[in-house]
Amino acid sequence: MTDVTNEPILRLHAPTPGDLAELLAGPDAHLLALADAAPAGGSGGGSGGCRLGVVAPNAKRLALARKVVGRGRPWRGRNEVWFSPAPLLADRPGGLAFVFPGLEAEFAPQVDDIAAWLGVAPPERNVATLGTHAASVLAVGRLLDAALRRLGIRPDATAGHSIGEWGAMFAGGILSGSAFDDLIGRGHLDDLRVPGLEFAALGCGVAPVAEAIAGRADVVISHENSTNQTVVCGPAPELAEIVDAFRARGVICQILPFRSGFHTPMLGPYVAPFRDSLLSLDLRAPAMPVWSATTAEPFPAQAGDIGRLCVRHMLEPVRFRGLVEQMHAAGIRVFVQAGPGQLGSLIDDTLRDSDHLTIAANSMHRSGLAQLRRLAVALWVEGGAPDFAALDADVAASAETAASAETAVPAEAVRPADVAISPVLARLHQLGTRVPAAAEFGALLSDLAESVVAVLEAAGAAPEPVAPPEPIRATDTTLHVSTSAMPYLLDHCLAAQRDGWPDETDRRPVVPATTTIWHMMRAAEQAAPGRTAIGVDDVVLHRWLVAAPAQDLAVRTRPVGVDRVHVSVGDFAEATVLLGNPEAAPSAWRPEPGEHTPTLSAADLYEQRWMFHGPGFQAVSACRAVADRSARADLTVPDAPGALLDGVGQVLGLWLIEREERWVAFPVRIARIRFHTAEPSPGTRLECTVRIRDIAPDAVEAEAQLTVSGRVVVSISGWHDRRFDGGGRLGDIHRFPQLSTLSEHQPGGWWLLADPWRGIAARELSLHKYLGAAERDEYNARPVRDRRRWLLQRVVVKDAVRGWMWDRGAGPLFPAEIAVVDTGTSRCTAVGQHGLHLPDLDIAVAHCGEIAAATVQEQGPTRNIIHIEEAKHAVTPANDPSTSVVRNPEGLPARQYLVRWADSAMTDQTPQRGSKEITP
Amino acid sequence: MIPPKASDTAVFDDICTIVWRVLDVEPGDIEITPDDSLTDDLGLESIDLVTIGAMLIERYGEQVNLAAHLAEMDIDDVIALRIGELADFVTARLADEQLAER
Repeated sequence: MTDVTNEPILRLHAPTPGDLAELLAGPDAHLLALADAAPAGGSGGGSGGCRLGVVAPNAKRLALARKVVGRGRPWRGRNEVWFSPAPLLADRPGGLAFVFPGLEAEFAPQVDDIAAWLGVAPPERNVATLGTHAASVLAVGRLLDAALRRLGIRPDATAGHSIGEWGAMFAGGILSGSAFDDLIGRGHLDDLRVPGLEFAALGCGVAPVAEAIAGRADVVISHENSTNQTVVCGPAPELAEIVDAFRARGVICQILPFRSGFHTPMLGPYVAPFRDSLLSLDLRAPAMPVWSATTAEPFPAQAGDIGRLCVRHMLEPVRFRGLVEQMHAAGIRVFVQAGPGQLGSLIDDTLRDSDHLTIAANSMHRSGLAQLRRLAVALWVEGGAPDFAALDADVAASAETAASAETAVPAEAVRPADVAISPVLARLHQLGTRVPAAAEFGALLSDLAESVVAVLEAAGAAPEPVAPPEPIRATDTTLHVSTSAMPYLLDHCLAAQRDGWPDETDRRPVVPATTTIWHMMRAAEQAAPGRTAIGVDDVVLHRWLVAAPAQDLAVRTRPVGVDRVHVSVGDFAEATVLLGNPEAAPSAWRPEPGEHTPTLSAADLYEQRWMFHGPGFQAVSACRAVADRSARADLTVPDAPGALLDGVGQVLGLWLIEREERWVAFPVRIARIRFHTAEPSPGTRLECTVRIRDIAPDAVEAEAQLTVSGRVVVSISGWHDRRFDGGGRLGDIHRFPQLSTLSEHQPGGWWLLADPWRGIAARELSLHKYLGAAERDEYNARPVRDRRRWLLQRVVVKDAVRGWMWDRGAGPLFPAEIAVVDTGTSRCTAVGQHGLHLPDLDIAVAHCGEIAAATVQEQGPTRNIIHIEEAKHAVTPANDPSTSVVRNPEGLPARQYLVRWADSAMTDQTPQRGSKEITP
Repeated sequence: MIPPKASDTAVFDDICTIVWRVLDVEPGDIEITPDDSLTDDLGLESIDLVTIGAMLIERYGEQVNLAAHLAEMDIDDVIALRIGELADFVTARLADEQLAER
């Protein structure tokens, strides 16, 4: 080991590889001076853009860095250089997995310095027997899991290879620390062994192996490891034959130095003691997806199902290749190997053509902390946020003792070694009555006793990294909100615009309330490393969080209890996040009597634009039922963070659409959310039931359950939506602004708009559908009391112009495609935006009280005129054909108006008798 | 240290090309010397040997059977395998083949 601790690290980030290349173009001396400073680069510290990390930079490594950045392709760690043009974890929540190795021929973990850093005793490393070897691998995995969490690196999912799966079950919350100890201590690991069976690793995929052993019962496939590695198990002579045959074909083969029969049906007669131990453990619902290599799917949530799967794990092949493929398909991009060894190379082999990172948390080639340093660099380069300070802070401290307040557990707190030795001996006795091969028993017993002692010793000395949680920290971080940092927001835009519309701000991408909640949960977890957010209370959403233009928001966490932390995101949102183990799930609701099939299908919801959500947020996959006070639908978890709970809001929306005239609604407050298992991963299908607790003209309160196979995985109460006017024309403009108008075309050819908005929030919702960026600035520059008038006029003019164009055969026209230019008092013209051509138009516009009116013609010799005045008393029937009497619609002050319109051409026409009374 | 023989230069170059491909880097990005160990110095794993074996067969034909060669070595020697040794193995097999053809 030739490690220099605290090797300098150069970290750079920039929006594009080109910009990064510019940063790198400077002299080496300048770059070397940047090493170990905070990351340098352009445009904030957001996770967007591209990133470069160099450990112990020197001229040669900088030259390599320039080369790989210039090429613009990812470079992941060779020669101490990491570069990611599109960081894998940027905006990929749920993209990081801890993967726990099983037994490997070589086992040389470098963990003493890590144990000192964490302030715990180093784990036992003893490969004398299969059982001690397994216990040592698991103990090292557990230590590394604690070290990773100390660095602020938290898995979104876990998995393991062979016995490593037990490490994954621990890290993922299925096994508590003591259950994990029990598994090792009482698990009879050395017992899991079939005499005479060997393993051979064959350097090829599963197909040729399956073909070669077809029809044989004595040799079976035990591990489908990767694209190019398959392990078979069988009696030594038969294996030797198979290995020779494959070698003759040029396939590289290796007999493995383990004899166990694990992961084959041959182990069947031997698993009973282990199975009994296992099933006596406290198996909890996973706190995150814990992937099974038996099924290549996440573990189930019920203890009974988990136990059954654990037994299958011992008797069925390890489908590691399929597991890795499924995890990648589910969005995992970074595989952190929680141990030394070669497991990562199996992942690389399987994902050869797919973008991903494997990085080992431990390496035989360098000290434990030096490898963690590289891991931190690798994760930072992929958009992660490891705590470099924790790493640096240590090295000084590790020389000292574990006295610092930060260290996880004082030595006294470590579990004593007196864990129920007599039960273990009792089980040994029991074992004697069960093992079928009596001749093996003596040797087995002595082996087992030895391993139990070793394991208990190891358990006694093992760290207890999760025991007493560290206090929650107060943190102040920055959340960069933009569509480049959060590209999924392009599927959550409140104002549709023409395809290819250049101004992103006109689309109004907003961060969904539930995505904000997701970020607050992650912030809470960052403030409490090693702990999981399991619920949220008192969510308040103060205003729209708009992502264009980009903004940087202060995210503050402030502990308010042992397991509660208050989180605020700028002045946009706040909530209290709960940390710990998931609360017991309530029982699932029964369907409300009187359900009927919704008139809209899931496809209708989105295609008919009842929901504005693009694919990234289209969570509803089937509309099941609506009733007087409830709605049910199937949700399929989309990729975007927070999109699952957004789906709950959509099911509430479904109920409003089916039952109410005013169906547009957005969440403003949520009293309580609980995740009873790990947050369901993308692709998971759930049933969502929303029950209406209360409904008022401007508000609706609901509660919800998300279930999988009848088990509640998320429960929500006190979900408050604010309701907006969504009926009639407001609903149409909400759904299809390019085909609809808020104003009405009147006989006589003019357009009328009576204020359709009940309140400023509703007005602003329409405003963004009608106005481009420059016009919004104009609106905001108006005195507040003048804004309504101004907007009414703009809208009526845009509608009049679009109507005029449609009459002449134009296709869909978005309001923002037409800019209105004032040309005089009550006169204006319109200019097409971003490619729309408009003829020169002569537009007259007028306003009075709550209404506005406009009329349009092509510019010519005559001039348009329109005029409105309030008719104070009785309406005077006008003889003038171009006069109308207009009444305010219901909901506005009772008023009537006299509208007069004309142009010189019309005044020559024959007068019509009477006046027309119109209620818009 | 096993220096390449003059006649081995072409084989050594081929092997470098193969290793760069396995490492997924451009030729020359990573310097390779005959003394480099495949695992310790170049960071290759045993699964990568499978790929190298397949590429050697693709390049030279079936007679360059790395699988059979590795089978004769014990595991520690496989782990310590150096580029120069790999080149020597290929050169020797090619020479065997020439002899066989005469």
